[in-house]
Amino acid sequence: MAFKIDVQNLNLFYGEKQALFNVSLGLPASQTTALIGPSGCGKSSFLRCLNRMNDVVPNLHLEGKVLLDGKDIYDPSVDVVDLRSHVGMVFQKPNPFPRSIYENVAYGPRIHRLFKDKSALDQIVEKSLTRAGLWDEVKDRLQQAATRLSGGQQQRLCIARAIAVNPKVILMDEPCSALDPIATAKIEELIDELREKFTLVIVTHNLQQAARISQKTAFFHSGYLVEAGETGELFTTPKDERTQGYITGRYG
Amino acid sequence: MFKKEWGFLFFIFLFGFQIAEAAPPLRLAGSSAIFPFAARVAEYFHYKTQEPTPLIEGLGTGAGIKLFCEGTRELDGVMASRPFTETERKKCEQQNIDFQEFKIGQDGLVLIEKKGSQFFPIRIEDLRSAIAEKVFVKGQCLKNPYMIWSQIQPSFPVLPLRILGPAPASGTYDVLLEKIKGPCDSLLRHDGIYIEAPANENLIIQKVLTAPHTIGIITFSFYEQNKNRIRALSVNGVLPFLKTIQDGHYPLSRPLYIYIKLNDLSDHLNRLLYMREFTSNDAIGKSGYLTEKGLIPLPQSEQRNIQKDLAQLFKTGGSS
Amino acid sequence: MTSNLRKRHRQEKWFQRMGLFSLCLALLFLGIIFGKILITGLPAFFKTEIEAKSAPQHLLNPYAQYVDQGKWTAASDAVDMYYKNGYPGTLSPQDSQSIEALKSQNKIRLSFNGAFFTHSDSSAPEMAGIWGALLGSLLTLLITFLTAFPIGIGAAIYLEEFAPKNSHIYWIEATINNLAAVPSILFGLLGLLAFIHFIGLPRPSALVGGLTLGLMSLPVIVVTTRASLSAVPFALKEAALGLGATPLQVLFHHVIPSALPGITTGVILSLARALGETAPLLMIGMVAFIATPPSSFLDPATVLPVQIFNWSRSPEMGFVENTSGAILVLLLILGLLNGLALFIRKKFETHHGF
Repeated sequence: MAFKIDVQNLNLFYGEKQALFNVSLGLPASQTTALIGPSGCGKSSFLRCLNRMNDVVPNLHLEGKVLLDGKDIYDPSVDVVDLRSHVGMVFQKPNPFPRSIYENVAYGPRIHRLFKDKSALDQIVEKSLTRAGLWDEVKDRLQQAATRLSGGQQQRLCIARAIAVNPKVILMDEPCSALDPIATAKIEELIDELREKFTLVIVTHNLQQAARISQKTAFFHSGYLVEAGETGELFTTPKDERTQGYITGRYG
Repeated sequence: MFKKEWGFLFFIFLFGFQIAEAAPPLRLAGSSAIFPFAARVAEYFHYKTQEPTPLIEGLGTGAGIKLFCEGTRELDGVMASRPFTETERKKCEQQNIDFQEFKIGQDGLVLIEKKGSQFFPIRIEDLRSAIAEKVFVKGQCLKNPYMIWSQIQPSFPVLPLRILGPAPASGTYDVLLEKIKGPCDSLLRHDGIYIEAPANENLIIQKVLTAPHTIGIITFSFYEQNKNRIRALSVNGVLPFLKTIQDGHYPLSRPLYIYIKLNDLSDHLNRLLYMREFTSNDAIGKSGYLTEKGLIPLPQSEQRNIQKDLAQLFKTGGSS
Repeated sequence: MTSNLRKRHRQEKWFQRMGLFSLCLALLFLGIIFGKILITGLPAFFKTEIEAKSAPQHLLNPYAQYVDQGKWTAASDAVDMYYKNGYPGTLSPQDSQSIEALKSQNKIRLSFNGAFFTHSDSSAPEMAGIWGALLGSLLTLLITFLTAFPIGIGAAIYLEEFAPKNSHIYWIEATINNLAAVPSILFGLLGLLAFIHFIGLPRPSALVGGLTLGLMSLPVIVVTTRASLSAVPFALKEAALGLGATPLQVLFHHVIPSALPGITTGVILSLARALGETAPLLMIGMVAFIATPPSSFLDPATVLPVQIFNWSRSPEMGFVENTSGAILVLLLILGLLNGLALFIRKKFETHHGF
C-alpha cells in the first residue's frame, strides 16, 4: 500500500525546545489513521506539520522530510497556499466563517478558482454538503448564517468546506471533542464514508473512537512516536509497555 | 469602486472654486480691542459696496504687526492699539512694505465695580500701588507688599485687594503698563492680587459681579455695553465718558490706529474704501454705529484731515 | 462563620449603594449643566421681529435697510433682549414705551430663528448664525477623515499583521501609543509650523485645520484599529489559512470584515472628538471674524467650537444666548455621532460570534 504522506525523520523545535523527536510515520492512502497519546505528547504539533499550519508559529524550526505523493512539502519550491488546497484541515472547535452556509462552502473554490460559472459552483457546494451529510438539513436555507447551526452541524459544515476544494488528504484535530454523542456518532459515520475518496488523519483523545474509525493507529508520547501499526493489532497486542499502559488507562 | 472620474471631480472641487472665485476679501489682523469695531465696519462695507466681507482676525496687536511686516503679504491692514515701535518699523522697511498710519479713534481703560457697591475715587498712583509688581516704598523699589486697600491710603476701606485685568501680549496690557509707569519700572504683579483674564472681558465682568470686592479693568466699549450692571470708578477725579476721553481729561485713554498697506494700492483700492467707511460719519459721527458701540471718535477736525488723506491716496493710487 | 458571611454581605450592599450614589451624583451634575445650557440657549432659536416700517431705525437690526427681509424685520439686539427677558439694557425709557406700543398693536412678535442655521457669523448677534461654522466643520472633518483614515488603518494593519517583532517596531508602537495622549494644542503648534510656515498653505483654511486634526486623530485611530484587529479570534484566521488562503486574503476577506465594527466605531469617535476640538485650531489662526461661508477647502473658514469661543468673548448680550444655542447644536451633533457609533457596534455584534 502506498503512503499518501510519508514522514521521514521529523524533528520539530519551538525555539530551543524540541517538540518532536525523529518521528517517521507513513500515512496510507484512502485510509483513516488515528494519532493517539496523552496531552502534550505532540500529536497535534505533528498533525500541523502535515499542512504546514505550523508555519505561522514564530521561532519554529523543522528538520526532516514530509513527502506528499513523493514530494517534500517543505521544499522551498512548494507553494504553501497550493499545498493547503490539497491537504485540508478541520479543527477541534467548529469555526465556520460568520457568513452564509453557502458562502462557507464556496469560499475555498472561490479563492482557488476551481469553477467556471455560478452553476458549477452551486454543484460543488451541493456535492460537498451532500458528502458531509448536511445537504438535506440545510438545502432550504443555504443563505442563512452558518453560526445559527448546531455544534454538530457546524462541524459537518467545516468538513464540507474542507471537501469543497477536493483535497487529497483531510486532517482532523479532535473533531468531535466539542460535540455531543449524537453529533459525534454522525461525524464518525461521515469519516467512514469519506475514506472512500480521501486520506484521513485524525487526532483523538477518545480511544474507543480511534478503535472504531481507524485502520492504522500511531501512539505518541512526550514527542516520540512510540508505536504505530494496524489498529486492531495495536489495541489488542501493543508491542510497547507505554502503549499498553495508555490503552488500559493506567495514565493519560 | 473609486472611479477615476470621481477623483478628478474631487480635485476640481478642492481647488476649482479658488479659481472661479472673485477677488479675495480684505484681510485685517491685530488688536482685539479694535476687533469688534473692525468687524462691524466690515459688514457695513459689505452691504454698501457688495464686496465680500473683509476677514478680521483678533490675534493681538503684536502678532498682527508681525504678520503685517512679513514677506507673505497676506494682510491688507493691521489694527494696533499702540503705535509701531522702531524695531517694527525697521522690519517693515526691510520687507519693502509701505504703509500709512490712520488714527481711527480712542479707547479708554475703565475700572469697574459692581453696581450698588461703594467704592472710592482712585488716583493713578493708587492704581500703581495696587497692581504694579514693584513699588517705591521707603526710598527703594520693593516687591509690592500691599494686600489691603487701606494700606495704600488710610482713607480707603479695609477691603482686600483683588483686581482683574488684561493679560500680557495684548495691546491693552501694554497701555496699562505705560499709564501706571512710575519710578520703579516693572510689570504687573503676579502674586494673585492682580489676576489676568486673557482677552476675555466678559469673564472679568462676570467675576466683578459675583466675587466680592473685585475691581475689573476693561475697555470702554465693553463698559458701555454693560453699563446697566457695572459702575465705573473715577480716575484722578474724572469719570469715563465720551467727552472726557476725547478731550483727554480722563487719564486712562489711548489712541487706536489702523495701518494700511500701500503696496499695489491701485489693485487694492478696496482698502481705501474700507478706511473711508471706518472714518465716515455713519460710523464715527455723533450717533454713528461705532460711537454707539463705545469707540471714542476723533474730534471733527482730525476726522476731516483723515478724509483728506484718503482722497489724496485715491487720486495717487488710482492713477498709477 | 456566620458573622463573616454577614460582613461580606454588608460590604457588598455598601459597595452597591456607593456605586448608585456616585451615579446619581454624576447625573445630577450633568443635569444641572445641561439644564443651564438648555435654558440659556433655547431663546437663541427664536428672534424678535417687528413689522416692516413700523419702528424707527435704531430699534431694528443694523442692516435692515440693506437687506430685504419681507413683511417682518429682525429687531435690534437690545430690543430682542427686552422682548424676551424684559431686560432694558441700553434701551431708553421712550424705546421701552415704543415697544410696549408695538406689542399692543401686534406689530412685534417672536418667531423661529431659522436664520441662526442659514446665516454665517455677524458682528450683530441678532443676525449671526452658525451656517459658516457648520460648513467649515464639515469640510474640516472631511479632510481629517481623508488624512487619518487611510494612513491610520494602513499603519495599524501593517503593525498588527505584517510587521516583524523586533525592537525597531516596538519603539514605533510605543511612540504611537504615546502620541495618542499628547495634548491637542501641541498638534496646533505642529500644524502652524509645518503647514502654514513651512508649506505655506492658506490660513485659516479647512485644509490646514483638517490636516492638523488628522494628525491628531492618527495615533488614536491606529491604536483602536489595532485593538479591533487583535480582537479577531485566531480560529477565524486558522480556518481561512487551512483552506489555502494567502495572508492578504485572510486579511481582506476575514480579519478586516470581522474587525470592521470596532474600526468604524473608533473612526466615528475620533471624528466626534475632532469636531469638538478648539485649541489646535486657535493656534492655526481660526479665531477670526469670517462672515462668508467657505466655498472650497482653501477658503478662510472657522469651525463650530471656535465660533462658540469667539462669541463667548463678545460684549453684546445677545451673544450669550447665541453661544449657548450653538453649544446645543454642537452637543446634538456629537450625540448623534456617538449614537451612530453605538448603533453600528450593536448591529454588527449580533452577526458575529462562534
